[in-house]
Amino acid sequence: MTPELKETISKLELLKEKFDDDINEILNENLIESIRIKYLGRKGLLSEFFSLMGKVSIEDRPQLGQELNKVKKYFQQKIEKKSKNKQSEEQKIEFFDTTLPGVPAKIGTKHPLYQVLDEIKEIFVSMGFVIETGPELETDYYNFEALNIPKDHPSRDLQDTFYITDDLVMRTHTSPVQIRTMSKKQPPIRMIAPGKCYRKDALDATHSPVFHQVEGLCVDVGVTFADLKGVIEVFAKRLFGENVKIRFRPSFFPFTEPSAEYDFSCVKCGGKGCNICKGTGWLEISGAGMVDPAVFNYVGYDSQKYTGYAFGMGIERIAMLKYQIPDIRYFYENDLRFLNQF
Amino acid sequence: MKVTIDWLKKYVNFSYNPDELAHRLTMLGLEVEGINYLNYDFEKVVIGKINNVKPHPDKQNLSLCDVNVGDKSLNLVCGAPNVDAGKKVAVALVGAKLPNDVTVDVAKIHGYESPGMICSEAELGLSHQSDIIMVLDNKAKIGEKLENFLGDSEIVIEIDLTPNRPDCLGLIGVAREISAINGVNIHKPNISLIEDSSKKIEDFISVKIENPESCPRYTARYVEGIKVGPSPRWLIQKLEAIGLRTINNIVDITNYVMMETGQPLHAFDYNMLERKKIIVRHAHPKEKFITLDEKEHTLPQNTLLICDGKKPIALAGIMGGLNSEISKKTKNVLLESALFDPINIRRTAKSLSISTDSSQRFERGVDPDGLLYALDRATQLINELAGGTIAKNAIDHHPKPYKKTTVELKVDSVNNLLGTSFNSKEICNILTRLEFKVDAKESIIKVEVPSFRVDIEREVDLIEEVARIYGFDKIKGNTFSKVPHFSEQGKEEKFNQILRESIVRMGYNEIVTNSLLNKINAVKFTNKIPIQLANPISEDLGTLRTSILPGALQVLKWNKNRKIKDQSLFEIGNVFYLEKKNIDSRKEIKKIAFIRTGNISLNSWLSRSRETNFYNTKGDVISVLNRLGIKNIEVKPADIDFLNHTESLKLYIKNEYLGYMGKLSASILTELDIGDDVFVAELDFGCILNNYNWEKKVKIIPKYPSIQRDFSIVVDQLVSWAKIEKIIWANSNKLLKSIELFDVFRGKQIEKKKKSFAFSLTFLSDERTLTENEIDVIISQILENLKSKLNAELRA
Repeated sequence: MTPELKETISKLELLKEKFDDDINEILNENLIESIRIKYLGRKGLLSEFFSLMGKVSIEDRPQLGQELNKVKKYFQQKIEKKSKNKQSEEQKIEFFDTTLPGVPAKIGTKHPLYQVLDEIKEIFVSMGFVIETGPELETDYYNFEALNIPKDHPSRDLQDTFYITDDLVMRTHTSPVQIRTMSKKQPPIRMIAPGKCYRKDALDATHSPVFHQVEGLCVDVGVTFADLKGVIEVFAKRLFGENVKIRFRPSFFPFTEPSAEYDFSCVKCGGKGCNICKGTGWLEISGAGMVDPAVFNYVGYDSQKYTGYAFGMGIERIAMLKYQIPDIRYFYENDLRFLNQF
Repeated sequence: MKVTIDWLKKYVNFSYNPDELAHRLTMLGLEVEGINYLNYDFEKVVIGKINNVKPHPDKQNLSLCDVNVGDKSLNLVCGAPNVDAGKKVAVALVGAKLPNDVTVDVAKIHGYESPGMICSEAELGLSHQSDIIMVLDNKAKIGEKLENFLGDSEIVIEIDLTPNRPDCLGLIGVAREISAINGVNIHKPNISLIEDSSKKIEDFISVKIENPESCPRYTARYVEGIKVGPSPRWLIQKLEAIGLRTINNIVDITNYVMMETGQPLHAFDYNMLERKKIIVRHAHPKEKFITLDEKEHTLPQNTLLICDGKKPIALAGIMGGLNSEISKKTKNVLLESALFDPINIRRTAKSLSISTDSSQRFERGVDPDGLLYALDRATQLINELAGGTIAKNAIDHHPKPYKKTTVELKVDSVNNLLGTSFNSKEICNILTRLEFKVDAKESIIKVEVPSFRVDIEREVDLIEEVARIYGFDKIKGNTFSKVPHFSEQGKEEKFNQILRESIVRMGYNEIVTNSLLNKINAVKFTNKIPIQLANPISEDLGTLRTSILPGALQVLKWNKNRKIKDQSLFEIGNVFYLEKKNIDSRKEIKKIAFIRTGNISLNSWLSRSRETNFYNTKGDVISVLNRLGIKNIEVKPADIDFLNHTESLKLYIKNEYLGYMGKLSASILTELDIGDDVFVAELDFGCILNNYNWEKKVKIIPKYPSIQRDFSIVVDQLVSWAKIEKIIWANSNKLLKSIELFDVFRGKQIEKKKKSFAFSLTFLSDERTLTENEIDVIISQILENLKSKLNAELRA
């Protein structure tokens, strides 16, 4: 850098300081324009420096140019900022009503049944279960026969079935997916099967001819009833909180042995007894049990080698408990005043 | 199955209170549905003794009775046929309140005052017996309150039995369960019959079983010279408490013993048998029979009948016949205790739509070795309560003898299945309490199953018994899995989540609707053959949906009727139809439906929303598909009945049909009584899934600036935008990145029958900064082609 350039730059520094003093001292906003003219005007203080450009040596020119542009930009920004402050202070005088409602955005909802189902899936997937599916229009073989429910079995009374033909039914539970899965895969198996089911129930507050279930199945060497209880216990706590207790009591299903019904302690009263649990402190959830060896025979598994557990649950029932929905018809009416709460 | 606590205590001692008992039974697998307390408190009803009876002078069926009620005698008027001097009866005094809400006052009956009334059981709410007065036994103390005499109120426990436990369809079975948990032995009533050895049963009846597979065993007894009449108080009270109607002593005894043992019995009026020969056979084709409820049935194939050698006298195991029922005149009784094939009984009962206490028990399986006990028990009670003489011996026809079941139980099997650590002794102990006979050798137990447990055949059945009696609750849950598992959420499931998430973000509400609907609705939105239910609840729910739309439109209407105008709904679910006429061509396919009506966004004070239109729905559908990485969507005009013919289209991906979208036709809207425009779309879920882009790879963000040019061209109004787009793409090189239409205009400023499209083209290179010149070349080529092919002019 030549000494000339050095001197020019230091002068420029001085000019900058002077500018800062001027602009900071301004009280009357109208004077901003006069400052602009004083420094940036055609005959302003900075233009004097620009006229030096032609006079300095060629090697100094680029650097001087840069320095000058920097300062020019600095002046411009400062002036602009000052005048903006002025404007916004002017606006402050006007009343800006922040209490007016924001413009609403429309956000959709997932159906509450499927929200609960999503949650249930997530819990079981986290425990190593795979999601499997099967048809709703099912054969008698998968829905009954292979689940050890032959044609004249009394337990067919428990589930009034919609028939299409003698051999085709609307599935009465998601259990046929167990059979379908075991028929195509070898153990170890850990699956859940969510889906729509159908029973010949008239629609009322607690029954619907269409409803949803989740079926669970685990088959491997050494799977026990204690494992089943453990899985249901974890599930209950994850879904309804750490304080939920579970209760297994003996029951009967043709495709499990031993068979159990499992209950959760009442999610409303915690087990003291209330109108939701009809004073018992317990809520019936669904059935479970150890896979009956007869079922293994149907799918060709070695029942000497493998054991397994299966369980089911009704989604409507769980969703009703979780959201305190009083009537199953809410789900199928799809009233938007209901759906928009989810 | 209902039981009373008092009745149960006849067979086993226990000290559980009703709630505790209910809990214990429930935890044993006999789920208690409710506890009912039948109260016997009557205000001002006392025991009286009829001193003498005079007939009413004018009214033939009325009697004037002098009744001692302890502190005084009352003159009461009574209309019952069984008022006799010396009988002890229940007297409602003036001011007594009866269960049927009657308050007793001094009544004036045909000239005689009656300060109180002699009650029937029906009037006291104790039974249905209304035509005769209630007669108390001699132990009753004159003047005592009736409730003191009747004793404690009955506590009725209602058990919801699972079909595998027919042994608990008798109170002794329930008592056995209690005994298994409290360790107190059950006591079955002892039987000692006084038979008349001069009368041999063979002289009165013979039995022939023509179809032994349907009737493996038939036993019978004969009692002569009985007196049919009302049952004693204790018997009525027991049966009525559990909801059985009392008829007469003979029928009541058969019911009582059935409730006690689980073995259904039937009593025939012996004199009504035309030939003294019981024949058990299948019905002849179209044979008819009148059951004792006076209904005539045409019998289905394989109906098992009990016949008297000439005609049928009972539907075996289901209901007796009118022609041989016990009546007041019956003198001699043939008592049947038989074993019938569960499946045969079930089929007949189901096809005739009859379900009786008897058929329910046979369907589930009665104790094949318990027939004679029940028969003798009932015979003894008949003898005690109705007199008569018992013929020597019972008939026991046994063409298919019962064989005891023995099962081998390994201790390891128990523990491996349950996750427990029982030893052989503990297991044997439990099984013994349930009357299983055990023979343990080291770790293998030979178990002989008692005859009444028809549900136990295999090792695993025994394991359940061990777990059940030990207590499911005592088996600790194991939350540590021995085998590590790694789960992958299925692809379809993952896709389903992404899809639903995307649609919800656009403001749609997810709905779930019934897949069953009315046939008229089902066919409205399809040209496919719908699938019908063979046994629907009603016609309105008789057909499987072939499309999601009808259900979704019902929801739309539901909300519209509730003044909700703006609706964006979607549903993902299966539809069903036949490809051809036969059922084997059935299809079950997952679809996704969108339906939209009303405004596109919410109104606010700042902006008014517009009504939704065709392009909104098209935009929604395309946006979702684009979001899923599906870009190459082709559209073709649709010719679909229920859609508006101009505002509708079909979508394709790589020539595969994806679905349709459009505005519902005016005629459909009128039919459905919906006033506003409705836009719908229904797409194939599987088709989207197959084209979903699983492997996302990022496109590098361009380093060089793009060049954007705006144009406005005028074309004939029949020229579609797609044509213009096609020409632009065809005549540009890969530097053209996008075409964005920002205005479509018809109006004064341009010629009639013409319209203008305003659009911008964006050019970009990944390798360098583009020059204006090279873009000019492309542009002029595009414009030339638009002009030559579509006569498009640049708008000035």
